[in-house]
Amino acid sequence: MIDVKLFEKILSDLIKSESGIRKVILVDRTGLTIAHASKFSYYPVDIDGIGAIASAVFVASEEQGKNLDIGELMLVTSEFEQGKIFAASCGKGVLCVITDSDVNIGMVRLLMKRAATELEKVLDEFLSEQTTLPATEEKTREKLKSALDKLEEF
Amino acid sequence: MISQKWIKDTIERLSSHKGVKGVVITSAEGIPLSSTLSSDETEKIAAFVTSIVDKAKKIINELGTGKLNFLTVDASKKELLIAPEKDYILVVLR
Amino acid sequence: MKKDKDGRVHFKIIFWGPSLSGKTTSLRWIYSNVSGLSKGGFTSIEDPTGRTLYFDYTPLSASGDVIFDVYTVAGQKRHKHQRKIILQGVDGIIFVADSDPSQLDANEESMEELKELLKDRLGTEVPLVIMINKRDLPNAADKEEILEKLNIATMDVPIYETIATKGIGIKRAFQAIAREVLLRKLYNLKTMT
Repeated sequence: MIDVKLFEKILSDLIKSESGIRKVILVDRTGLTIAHASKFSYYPVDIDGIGAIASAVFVASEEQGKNLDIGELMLVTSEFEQGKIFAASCGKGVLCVITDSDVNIGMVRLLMKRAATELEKVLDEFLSEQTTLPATEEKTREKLKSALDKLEEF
Repeated sequence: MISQKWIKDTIERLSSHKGVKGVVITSAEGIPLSSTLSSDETEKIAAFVTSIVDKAKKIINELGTGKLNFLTVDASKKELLIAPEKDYILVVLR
Repeated sequence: MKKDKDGRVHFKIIFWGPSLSGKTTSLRWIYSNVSGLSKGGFTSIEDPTGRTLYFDYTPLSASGDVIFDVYTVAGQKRHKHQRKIILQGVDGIIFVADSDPSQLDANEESMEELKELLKDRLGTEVPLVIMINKRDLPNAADKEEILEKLNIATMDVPIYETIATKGIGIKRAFQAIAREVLLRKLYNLKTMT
């Protein structure tokens, strides 16, 4: 079984390696937030919502690339007055990085590329395990059963 | 000021010098503008050189020693000559 | 079904249906009124008039370990690409049909698109629940007439008559799809072992 701490390690290494990076989120292509890391911030943000949009925006760009026949999408950059958002493909996932506006773009791209290669491997293992690992089946069944009971209560 | 022609001329002029192994011009945000090297190497140089220029500027600012004019990174195999301008950074590998 | 890195199980449920049939109203009603569900934020991408442009999203959870990531799609015809993207990884669908007689064809078209995208997975691998919404319209179309247009007689699908603006029937419809989704997964787990 893969160690989920690996996700956290890769993401926190990434966030620490460049001062302008505020937040790092790993999502899959269906909108699910898999892992994230943040530098201390004063305002709470809705990570799942941000992940859902990040994934949808990236996949929409990918779709646009297909329509225009210009190949695979590598990176999306969104530039705002007070920050930038980068999103890069990493296999079955999308790596999303939120930065200050005056960040070293070249460095962010380089670091994201490296992290994406690492994440792609870990993510593949993580996702394939979900369907094949019998050890967690009993636990999953318990979770589903309890959710089923709770469902009738509300 | 930064035109395609200027970039082309600068790269040609600098690479014609003896001992020059490569020339990279990068934006102040670390995005490569032009280079004589492979794209992988260029991206790496642009990213890290921009980062060291940012740091050097901070140091100079703290120390109150004026404006950063030039940086030399002397290593055992190669030497990096770095000229930070307002909108771009010029890097020569020697 | 997917697990996140903390081992929580996620199911993706989508409100589908024609433009202005009440998908967002339904999800907002659940979000604001159903007690016993813990929830995250409510995320919307809408146009300046408040119509869904891309999707709405909110994570809902009955027990901490199982999370329903609930989405709505943009109903307008030109948003087909967006709908296709949101449909990725879906575990269950609530189809919101409009009772307005002028929307009979729009209901049909929306269902046809869904069938075309999910093929034979619809109603089998991906459970379906129907909401016939806006039952309070004075000129509401006949239930049978609406269902006939949807052409789902071959599927064994739970059907609910609802009024999303008043929250009538919404909770039951959501419980139904959540139950279907959970039972399907439980059944699959059993047959695998």
